[in-house]
This record gives sequence, C-alpha cells and structure tokens, in this order.
Amino acid sequence: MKKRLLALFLLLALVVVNGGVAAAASAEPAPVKIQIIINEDKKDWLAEMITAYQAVAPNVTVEQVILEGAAGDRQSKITMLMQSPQTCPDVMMVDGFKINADSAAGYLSSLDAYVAQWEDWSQYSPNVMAMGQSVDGTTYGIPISVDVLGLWYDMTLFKEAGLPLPFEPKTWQDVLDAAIKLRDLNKPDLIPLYIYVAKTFPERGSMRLFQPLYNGTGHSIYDPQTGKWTINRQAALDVCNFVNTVCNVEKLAPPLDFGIQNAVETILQESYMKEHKVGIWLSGNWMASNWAEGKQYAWENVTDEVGFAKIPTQSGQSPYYTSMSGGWVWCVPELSQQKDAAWEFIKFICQKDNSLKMALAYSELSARMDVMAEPAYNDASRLYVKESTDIMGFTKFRPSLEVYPQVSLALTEAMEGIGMGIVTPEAAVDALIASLERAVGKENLLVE
Amino acid sequence: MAQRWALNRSGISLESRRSHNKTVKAAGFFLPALAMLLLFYIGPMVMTLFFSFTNMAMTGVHAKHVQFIGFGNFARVFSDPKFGSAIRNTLVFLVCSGILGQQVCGFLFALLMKKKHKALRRFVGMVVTVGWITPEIIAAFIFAAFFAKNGTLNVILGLGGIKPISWLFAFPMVSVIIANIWKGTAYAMLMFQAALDSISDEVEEASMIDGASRPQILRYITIPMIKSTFAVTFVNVTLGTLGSFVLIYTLTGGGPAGATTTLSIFMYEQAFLAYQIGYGMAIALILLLIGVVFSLFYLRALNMRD
Repeated sequence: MKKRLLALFLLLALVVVNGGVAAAASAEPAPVKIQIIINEDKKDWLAEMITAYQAVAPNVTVEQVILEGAAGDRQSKITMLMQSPQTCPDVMMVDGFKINADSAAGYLSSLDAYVAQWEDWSQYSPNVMAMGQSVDGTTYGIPISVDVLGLWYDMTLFKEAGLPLPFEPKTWQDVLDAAIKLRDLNKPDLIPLYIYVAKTFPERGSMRLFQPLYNGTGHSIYDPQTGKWTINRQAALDVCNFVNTVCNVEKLAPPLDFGIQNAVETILQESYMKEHKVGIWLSGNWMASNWAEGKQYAWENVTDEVGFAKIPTQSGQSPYYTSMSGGWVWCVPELSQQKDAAWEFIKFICQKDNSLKMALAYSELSARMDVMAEPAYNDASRLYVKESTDIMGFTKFRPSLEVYPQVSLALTEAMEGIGMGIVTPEAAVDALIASLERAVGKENLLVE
Repeated sequence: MAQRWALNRSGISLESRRSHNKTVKAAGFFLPALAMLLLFYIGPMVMTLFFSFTNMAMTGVHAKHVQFIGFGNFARVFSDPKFGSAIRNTLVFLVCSGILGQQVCGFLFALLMKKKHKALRRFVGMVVTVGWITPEIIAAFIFAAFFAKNGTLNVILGLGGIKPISWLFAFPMVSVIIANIWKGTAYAMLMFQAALDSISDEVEEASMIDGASRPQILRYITIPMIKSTFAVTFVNVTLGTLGSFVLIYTLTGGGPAGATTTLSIFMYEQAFLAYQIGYGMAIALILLLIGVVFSLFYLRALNMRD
C-alpha cells in the first residue's frame, strides 16, 4: 500500500513539475490561444475574421466553437460554460436580455476600462449601447447587430382583396380590417394574419407579440425611473382582446397546432410566404436575410411581392408605431484567462469594415452608425434595410433585468392560453398579474 | 452468525478466517460500484436535498450569493397554480401509461404468449422489445411523425374517411400516454414472462384437477405466485415513468398550454428556462418523494416488506 501511495505521489509531483516547466516557457512572448463561442448562423463570417486576424496578430490562435440546439438550451449551456474556469471561453455571444442577470451573477467582466480607450465606441448610439449595459451603466457587452419587428405582407393577396398598397395601417383595427378582407378571399390554406402565440419558443409570444403590442397602448411593462414592473390592467386586456380577436373571434390565425411546430418560422419563410399563403405576418426584419440572393430561401424580386410595414400603435397615438428590438452582444467572461487578448479580438471584429461585412453577409441592421452611413449598406440589393432602419427610430429594447426570463415566460403563457382558446382575455390578464407577482414579488409590481 | 464472528475475532478457526478474507475480497470488488453509486446517485441526491432549501439560481445575483431560505421554495411550490396541474398531469400519465398501460399490457402479452409456439413467442417478443430498445429521443420522433396532422395515423384513418386530426394538439395527454406505453411495455412483458415461466405446470394442473376455472387459477394461483415480480416491476415502471422527460418534452414540450406539463417538465422549465435552480431542486425532491411513497405503497400492498 505504501509503495502504491509513493508511486502516486511521484506521479503527481511529475505532473506539477511538468506544468511548472510549461508555465515558465510561456513567459516568453508566447502564443496566445483564445476560444470564442458563437451561434451557428455567424460561423462563416467569423471564420473569415479569424483568418484575417492571423495576419494582424500572428501569435494569437482563435478557436471557434459553435453552439447548436434550441435557443433555451443554448442559453443554459452558455451560462453553465461560464461557471467553470475549465470550460469558460474568452469571447462569447450573449443575448442582450441576459446582461443584467449574467453580470449580477459575476459571469461577465466589465468592459468599461476597455471601451473608455476605444474611439470606435462613439459610433454606437446610446440606446444601442444600452443593449450591452447593466442597469448601473456598466458596459459588459459590445452590440453585434440590432433587429426590429414589423408586419410582412403579401402584395399579391392585398391586390386581390382590393386593399391599398403600400400597406400603412394607422391602428390595430386597420390591421384587423385588412386581415378580415384577406380571410374573406376564402382561399384554402390561407393564413390572413400570423402572430406568435405558441410557447414552443418562449421569447416569441413575449417579445414578438405581447411586448410590442403592449408598448403600442402607450404603456411599458417596466419603469426604469421607479425600478418597478407595471401592468396596466386595461392595456393588458386590450392586448389580450386583440390576440383573442385574431385567434378566436375572427379566426385570422391558423389553429395553434400549426404554431407549435418547431420549424414554423422556416415553414412560413421557405414555402408559405412564397406560395402566397400568408397575408400579414408580425415578425422580424431578419426574415429578409434568407430571402436575399444566394441565401437559403433566395427569392427573386421579393420586394415586388412582399412589403414590410410598421406596426401601428393601438389607436394611432404618438409615437404612431411600435416595435421591439433585441440583439446579441460580444462579452468577455469573468473567468477568461485571456481578457486582454479577447478584447483585442472583439475590437478587431467590431471594426467598421468587419461590421459592414457582417451586416452585408447576413442582411442585418448594424449596431454602428458609421456602417449605417455606408453606401454599400444602403444599397438597394440589401432587402428592406430602409424600412427596418426607419423602425429603429422608435423601437424599444427589452427591460433586460434579472427576473426578465420569468416575466417573459408569464407573458408567453398568457398569449398561448388565449391562442388556444381555453382562456378568456379577462382570465388571462388575472393569471398574468398573478404570475408576475410571483416572478418579481408583489412589492415590485405596480398594477394600475 | 454472531457465533461465527466471535470465533473469527478470536482467530480460532481457520475456516472462518478464510471466510473473513472472502468478505474483505467481496467488499473490495463491491467498492467501485459503491463509489460510483455515491458519486453519481447519492451525492446528487444529497445535493438536491441541500440546494432545495436555497435560492440558488443559474444566473443573476442568487447565482453568486446563494442563501439558505428554509422552506421558502416548498411554500412557493404549493402556492403555485401550475404545480397543481403538474401533479394532476403526472398522476394521469403515471397511472394510465405506467401502471395500467405498461404493466397490464406487459402482463397480458406475457400471459397470452405462455406455452405458445416458440416462433410466435420470438416474433411477438421482438416486436414489443423494439420499443424498449429504441432510444427515447428516437421513439419521440417516431411518434411525432405518427401523430402529426399529415402523419401515419391520419393517413390510416383517412382510408376510412376520417378527417385528419391534430393528435398532439387535440389529445396531447392521450398521445404521450400511448407513446410511453409503446416504449415501455416490453420491460414489463419480459419480467412477467420470466416469472410466469418459473411457475411449474404441475401447480396449475393440480388446481385444474381440483376444479378451479382459468380466471380462478389466474387470480388465486398465478398472480400470488409472482407477486414479487409485480412489486419489482411496479416500482421500476413507476420510477421510470415519473422521471420521464425526453418523450414528453420532444413530443409536446409540456404543452399545449401546460396540458402535458408533468412534474419533470415543470422542474426543467423552472430550473432551465426561468433559471431558478433551487426552486427546480425543490420540485425534483417532491418528485422523488412521490416515487418513494408509491414504492412503499406497492411493497406494502403486495406484502413484500417481510
């Protein structure tokens, strides 16, 4: 037994000595390795960036790790990777709504000192900057791109129904009226108005349905001044009634069994829209990226067939339109061993030229103002950039506080209950208020 | 036994020393398994118990500063309206798919195949076992395709002029129950088959001569003779069904509108979508307790504790 213990001890000693030697060797101007974790959709652009970075910093090796899977699981995985020094990457893509929670948990390192010396930081407008900042104003992430919501509409169907083009609804009723006319075309398989009510993707029913509509009533679910979550009973009821009208009263949306499919967005984007089976679709500007030439669902002359309208406020009140924006940011985790190298790499990929490349490659809205002023960025071949940029003027960002994921889940559940037709709008509002009280605490919720 | 130990300690008997050595050797072989059990089973269980009394979160300030909050999570669970429906769904799923479905189907298959031709036994056995050996995620995809609106079931029903039904949406609980029965029947069947085969023909023949009818033989002879198998299968199937996650999550995601949210789905949602790890652990603990209660109930009902 003693012999064995001795052998074990010797082995351990050997490992320690070896490690020491390795550490001593790396004290010289040595190769640095950083690991970057990204979502699959950005991999081609990033691979190009990594190759280009080799020329700038030959001693730095960048390893790209692609995270796959459903959005919710990816979020959990990202969080868990950041919890251990063994798995913690050096740069990662984080969804903006998690900045407050992840920084409060101590997962992210402050980038304040870095951005203070970064002249390009002035190219980000304050509301875009806020995407990567916590409530106390500390910067934890550099915004990658911005997205907005609007109403995709089928011009062919609009013409058939005798609706004026372009579609410029001033109130929610205008949207409903148009959808009713489309429904009355009595076409088989036609979806007059598609909205996200299923919980399959929790953030959709919340951020892409309840929140933009609720903001369109002139209310906001969070008041940063008082730090309280607020819910106006009447406004919430109006939103629920709108959804109820669409799903149950006027039957403008397809049954929920269509919406609960995982691939619903792909189905709409890939076939339904092209086959003129969708009248109006409340969704994001990113749909256009796949319709662009050479892309997955390339669609020739799409701009002659599909328009992108602004979502009106409830009764046309100021600011006349509503939208919600999200977006991802580049972060450096607290447990990263190569923070400086990580920051240098972020700076490189966020340069004007590289940001422009990304915006062009993915038909995205840039987070940088100087990129947005570039002729190439505003080129007509870039689908719906003008329409989307207009929306950026009044869009709102999610109140990305710590409890936001729970709030968001409650909002989605309210939408799904109505969408299924098993909950009345009144009951949905009551249940929503109860869920919100549980999520944020009674003392933090103001019910008007 | 005590005597032998006494002898052993005094070192008188050579034979008992040998037996002592044997025990040590056996313990040595047993140790790795015990270590694994401790590390991967008991350890997480103790951790679950511990963290269920904290406000641990996956992210946010409670990820950094975990506090002991006593029975806070449990108070919250019992006042959560979703908890009631999750318990209800869990029990419906457990009773219908695990206890009634898998057990009864498994027993019937085993009974009907008893003393039948070998080729038939082999064929039926293979068909039923396919479900069991299919990985859960694949079984889920198979049933997603089977129940889909343009899926196999509707195509078959369509031949009879029945309009397509969106099964996973209109009858979500029934759908996942059927999927789970298909998946798990083989286990019960194999267990019962082995047990039934172990009953010697003479016993049944004797009772037949005594004038017992077939149902009477089943009721008073066969079932009592294999009640230990019943207990083991009941416990295993119950625990397996309570913990069932992949099948339900892949088929319905717990929806629509929570109609198939069992405790395990509810636990996942709270821990990994709402990031409330402590709260999720409390739900896990309740799930564990339900399993224990059911197991004890079976053992007692079948008089197995002695």
